[in-house]
Amino acid sequence: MISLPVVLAVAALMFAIGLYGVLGQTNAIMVIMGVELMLGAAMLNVVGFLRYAHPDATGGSFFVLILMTLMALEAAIGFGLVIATFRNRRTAEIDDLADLKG
Amino acid sequence: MSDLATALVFWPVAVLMLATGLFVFITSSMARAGLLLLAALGLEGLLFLALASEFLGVLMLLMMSAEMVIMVFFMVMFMPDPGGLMGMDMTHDKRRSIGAAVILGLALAIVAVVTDWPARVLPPDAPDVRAIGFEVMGRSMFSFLFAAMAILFTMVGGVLVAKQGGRYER
Amino acid sequence: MAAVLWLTVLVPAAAAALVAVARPAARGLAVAGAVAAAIPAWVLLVAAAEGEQVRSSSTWLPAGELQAGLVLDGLSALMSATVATVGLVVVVYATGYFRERAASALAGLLAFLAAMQGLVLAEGFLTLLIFWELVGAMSARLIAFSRDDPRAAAGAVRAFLTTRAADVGLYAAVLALLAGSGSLAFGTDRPDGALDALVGLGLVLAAMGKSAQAPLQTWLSGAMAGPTPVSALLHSATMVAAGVFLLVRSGETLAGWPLEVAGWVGAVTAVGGAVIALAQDDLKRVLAGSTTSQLGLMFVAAAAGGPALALFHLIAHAAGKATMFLAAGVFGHQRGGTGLDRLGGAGREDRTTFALFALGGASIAAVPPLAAFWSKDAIVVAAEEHPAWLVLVLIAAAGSAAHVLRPALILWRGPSRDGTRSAAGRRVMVGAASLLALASLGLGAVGGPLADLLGAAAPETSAVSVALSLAALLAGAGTVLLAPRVPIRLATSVRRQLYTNEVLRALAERPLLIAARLTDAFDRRMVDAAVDGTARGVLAIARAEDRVERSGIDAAVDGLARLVGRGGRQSARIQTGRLHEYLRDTLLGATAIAFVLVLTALT
Repeated sequence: MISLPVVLAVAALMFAIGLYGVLGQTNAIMVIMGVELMLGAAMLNVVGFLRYAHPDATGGSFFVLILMTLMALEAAIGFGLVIATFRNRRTAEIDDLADLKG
Repeated sequence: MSDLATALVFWPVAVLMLATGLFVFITSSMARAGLLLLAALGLEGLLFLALASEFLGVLMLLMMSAEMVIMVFFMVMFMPDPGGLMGMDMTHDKRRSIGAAVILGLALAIVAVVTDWPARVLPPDAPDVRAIGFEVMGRSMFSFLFAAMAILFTMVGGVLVAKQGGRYER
Repeated sequence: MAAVLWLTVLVPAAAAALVAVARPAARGLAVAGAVAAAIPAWVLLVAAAEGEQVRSSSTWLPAGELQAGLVLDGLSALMSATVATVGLVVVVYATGYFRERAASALAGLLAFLAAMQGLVLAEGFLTLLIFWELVGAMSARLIAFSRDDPRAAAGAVRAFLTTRAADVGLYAAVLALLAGSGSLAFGTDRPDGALDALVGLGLVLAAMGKSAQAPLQTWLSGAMAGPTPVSALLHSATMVAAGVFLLVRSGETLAGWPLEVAGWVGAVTAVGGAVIALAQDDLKRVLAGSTTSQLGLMFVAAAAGGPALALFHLIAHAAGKATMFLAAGVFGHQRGGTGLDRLGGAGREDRTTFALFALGGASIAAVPPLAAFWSKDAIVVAAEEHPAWLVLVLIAAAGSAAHVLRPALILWRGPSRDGTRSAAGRRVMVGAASLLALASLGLGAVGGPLADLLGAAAPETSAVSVALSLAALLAGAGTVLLAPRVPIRLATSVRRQLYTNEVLRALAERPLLIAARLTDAFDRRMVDAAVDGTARGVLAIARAEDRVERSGIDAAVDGLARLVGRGGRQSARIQTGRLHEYLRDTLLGATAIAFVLVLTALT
């Protein structure tokens, strides 16, 4: 009953939720959370393909591994930046970080 | 897992995952947001398990648990209203972002459903964790190494960025 | 011998240059130079007498193969010797005549000698033309020698313009001859058709101009404003004789009707010149008129009798007239001018000079046995075939006697005046003049050998001609002695050269001025107006273009700049600095790209 389109659709919806978070949230950490959700959706996509289209593609699993690594790295750097920003400006709201307004 | 078992596990877990993911951004309490995210990604790990990627599923569960705890930690540190008792609206461009998200999601879903994907049945001798290990240690060693280096740099870089006084000695 | 030919021309030229440079030694150098210049000429004469004929020429223009150079034959040798001898005498005289600026004058005389030698030795019309112009230029320069006398410059200008205007005839004739007959050697037959008239009339016109024949005779009187040595050399013996020389030299080229025309011109001028000379107030002007008359006789000789006659009279006239001029110069120095009112009795005081004057004058008046008597007699003989000419010649002979006797009487008899100065350098001048006077005595015997040299008919005399000549002589002398009074009006009109100048002015000068004024008005009214109009038009166009540029183009450019600025400001609104908006825009862009890719993949 579960087939590739279903998995992909679910992943799409999750991606959309993550996108809403990235675009709609003001706090930097919430944005990072949104990105995590989007990456998760991507991982789900790959796993779906692995299960239903290319079961013998071990490279796909490795790819998911890399994606997971990316999630962690992005979160790490992001939090470091938030700390630095908070130190200087006492705020983590991205609306207050509009210095490059041209 | 058999198809039936897969279906039985898949649907509730998927729905729950989506719901928790959505509520991450609806709730006004930061602690709850972090925990909800943990739930969402953990459920995703379960999905991996159901979809015959055991290694990845376990890995996901392990990673997310630790990561989300750290995230909650940070949120409490830097959020203006961690408890969420004040009920602040922390969104901007609500309509536009919702609109963009909905449109994109629908578009991708439609594409996913409509496209004629090549289907294959899981063969009995599907590659397992051993195969993944060989893959990582063999063909993908290079990428693995780079990933490892990236982690190292990120650790060092992240600490430097967050250091008091900035990156340079005064 | 070719080298001697060139030496004859080059030695006086070199002497002129030397004299001009070495001013202190000018007089001695000039005499030495003149002697050195005369030697090659005499050598040429001797060679020609022995029958030598030499030609030395080179190509002047490669196109048309025009030659230029010098030739030695009887005619050229004769003329060359004459020019050299008279030139030597005059140069010696000039060393005594000029008290100031002697070097300049002597250099000028020597340069003129060089040019004149080139003219008489020319081997073709082209070379002749070149030296013809040089001689004219030297003449004008020498006439204008005095820096104090305003008449000198005016006389030089008149002389130059008149002879130059007549030289147009020579140019036209040379061009027509070259175009029609293809050769510029002497004696080339005239081409047919219109060019025939051009050649014939052109040559005669040039001869008339140079020899001061009517109606172009007025310049000679004006030329008398120059120094007397110049008058003696140029305007009695050599340059004015160039016209006659041209007639003789052209040979076959002028055969037929052009010589007839020349003969008529000469006959009329002979009478006219003699009569005009009778009425002049200045001794040199008397001599000028006399020269005109005698040249007319030479024209008649060339037309009626042939080259030998013309040359005979030319040489005899040269000796006599030059003597008279040189004597007049001495008188002029003594009395401070040559006006006849000043010169009364000068002859009585300076009898030597008067003797010279009388000798030369007697020759000119055709008193036998002096030289010019024989030559004029030959002309009378030759003119017997043209009765009209004969009559005119006899009248002219009478006139010559009269106009020589009149000034002689004034010089001898006139009331003596104070203010006589003894001329410095008189001995030199008198000595030189006496040489020529002696020549006047003896040259009568030259006629026969001269004709042999030229290979032409010998001058003849007959009892009839002698009788006619003597009768004319007595008639003329008698007129002066017996009837000294002439009606005033007649005298005035004759003195004014029968109003030739006025006629010429009306005929030539007035129309030229009118044409000039018309052309100037045209130029100013139309051409200038056109140019100014164009300038104004250009300025108007420039101003309009400036307006267009300022309102149109500048406005367009400014508008474009404003547009770009506005566009920039609008584009800058994208850069809000808000991260989520950047992300949204990135998403939009990625969506668009994906859309396009999908579409291209589907089609």
